[in-house]
Amino acid sequence: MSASTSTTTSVPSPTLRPSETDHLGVTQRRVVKAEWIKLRSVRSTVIGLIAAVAVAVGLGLLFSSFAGSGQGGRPERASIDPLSLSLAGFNLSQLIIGVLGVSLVAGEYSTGLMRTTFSAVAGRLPVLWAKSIVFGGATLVVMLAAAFAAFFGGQALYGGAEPTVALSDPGVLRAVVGAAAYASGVGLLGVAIGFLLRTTAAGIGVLFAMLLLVPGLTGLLPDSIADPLTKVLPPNAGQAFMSVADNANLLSPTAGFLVFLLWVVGLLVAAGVAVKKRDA
Amino acid sequence: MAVDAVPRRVFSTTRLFLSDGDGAPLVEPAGDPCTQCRQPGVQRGSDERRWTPRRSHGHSRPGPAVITVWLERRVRRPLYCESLRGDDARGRDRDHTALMIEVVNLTKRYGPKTAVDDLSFAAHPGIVTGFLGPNGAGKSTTMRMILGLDAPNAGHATVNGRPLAAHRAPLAEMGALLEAKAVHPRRSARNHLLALAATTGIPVRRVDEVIGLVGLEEVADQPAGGFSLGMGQRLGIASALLGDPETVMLDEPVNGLDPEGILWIRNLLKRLAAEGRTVFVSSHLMSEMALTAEHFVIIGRGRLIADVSSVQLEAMASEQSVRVRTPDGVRLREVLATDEVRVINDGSDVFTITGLTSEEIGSRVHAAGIVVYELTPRQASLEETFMELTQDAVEYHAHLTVGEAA
Repeated sequence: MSASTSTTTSVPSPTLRPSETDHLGVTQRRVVKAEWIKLRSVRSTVIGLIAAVAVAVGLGLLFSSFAGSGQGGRPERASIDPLSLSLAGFNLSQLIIGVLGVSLVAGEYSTGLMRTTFSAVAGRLPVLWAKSIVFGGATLVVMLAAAFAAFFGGQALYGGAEPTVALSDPGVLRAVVGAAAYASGVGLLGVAIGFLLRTTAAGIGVLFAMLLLVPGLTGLLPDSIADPLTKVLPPNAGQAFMSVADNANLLSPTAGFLVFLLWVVGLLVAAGVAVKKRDA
Repeated sequence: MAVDAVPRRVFSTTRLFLSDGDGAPLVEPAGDPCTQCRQPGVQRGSDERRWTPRRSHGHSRPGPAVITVWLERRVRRPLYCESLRGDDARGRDRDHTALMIEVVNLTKRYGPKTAVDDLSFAAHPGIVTGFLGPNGAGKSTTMRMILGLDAPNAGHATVNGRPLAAHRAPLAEMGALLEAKAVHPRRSARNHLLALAATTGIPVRRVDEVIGLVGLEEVADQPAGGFSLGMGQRLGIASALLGDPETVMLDEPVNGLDPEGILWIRNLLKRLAAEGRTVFVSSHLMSEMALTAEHFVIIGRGRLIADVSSVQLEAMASEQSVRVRTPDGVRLREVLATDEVRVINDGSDVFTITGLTSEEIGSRVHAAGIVVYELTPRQASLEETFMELTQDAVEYHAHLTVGEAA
């Protein structure tokens, strides 16, 4: 007992210096920095992002080279648009990014870390915005790089047989940038769903249903309802600004982008309300 | 001496002492009176010089002792008088009576179940306050409400005078450990702390400091998922201490720890309290808390059962027993046993008697001429008292508030 008494009194805990404590306080900027540290310090997240890029570029190159060498699945080449061949990999990589977005948030809930985070950042909303900024920003940057790599590489491989598209062709730059923006937006949908549902399994389920299942189900509705409804679903709204092909079933690129943006912002706001109101 | 005239440096701690750096005593030398009313202090202990103002000292608040601790000319603990202002551990001018956790009429319902029911108590600086109750008593729910994670249905909780969320830097006001391994399993301990520190602008230097403080230097760069429960607890405590908080709140910190880890936590809690911090620790094991806590808040079914000092809790031990060793057990029973008195044979010639004091037993066996080899009064242990208190709450849903902090 005497040993423990001496431990309790003789060694003072190291402390923060007054000069340091003057600057303590939670700011949005600091929370963004914290989320950036979190994002880059988990290897699986980094690997996931690399995988999303690899899939986007790799599949784009693969499909383009098949089509270019005449081994593509369909004989009627005219119906194939070389741009969407190059960007074909984004169909898969957007799912990877969406899953990363969900697990980024839901994983923090499942370990109990979100409680620690919310007790440090008592306002909570800065955490939601910071995660969105960091994950949205990071995915936008890497997917932009992936989109340009897939586009240029794909067109080069495709080049042999068919007329290729150039970045300067109408709508092409918009579609290439749009593909990256869409992938990043799906990541943000994942973040919002993660905050709303708080479990990875449920979050991924809902995200996949939204992206893959629901667009197919609308076919069961009468056309008068299905047509306008289908257009505004996230994947179709995204398709509207990611492709250059004219399609009567899609919104205009601008409208498509705005509708998709509305989905992302809407779900993030809903997540914000839930985060603020619910017990953590 | 008026309150205003109290030298502000009285409340300085190590930090300020170091920053002064001249080696001169910050306050008057040992044996000095209370800074408020000049009543002479009483010396306690030798290696550390402790002074306690005399009993019934008019300025003491209910609850924790009125103590100033001096240690090598460092003032480690505020002299605790009514509404004194002074520099806190970080040199900010504050009302020291506000540096605490205060829970007022806190109520939390989950559907029809009331998890926390009109709970009020306070945890004061300078001592370890044990928060006890059986599993499911509402301890963790209360702690989440103190942290502002769960919203109460009624009442409120404040930390250092305000709801925690109202502070600019919550991490610097309260450090909390809720779950042992609330970390991403693939993130290293150091990165975990770096991210947490970044939210509040806590310098990187401090991260390495707390890693050293909890002894995780060697594994700090390894993924936290591979940590043992004990290492996880240490990491959780490192997060709690990151902001150098005035109040520390730990939920079941000794759960699943090995004896060495338990000893380490015990010493850490005492040290934090000795530094003048408010230390609030929950446990469902009285045996553990009895060794560290000076004050106990005991709840059952979400209600307050007792808010008492360890001394008061000991005095509450209702059932005293007397151990008697005699070769003549049959006659002992005849002489003593009644409806109120129980005589239990513990084996061979040892009997445990409840319902009579040792004096009464002694007189009666003497009168009856029974030979007695041993007569030992036994006080119920804190743990037994705790069991008894919580059992009542569970069985009868009783709302029994014993001994308002005197």
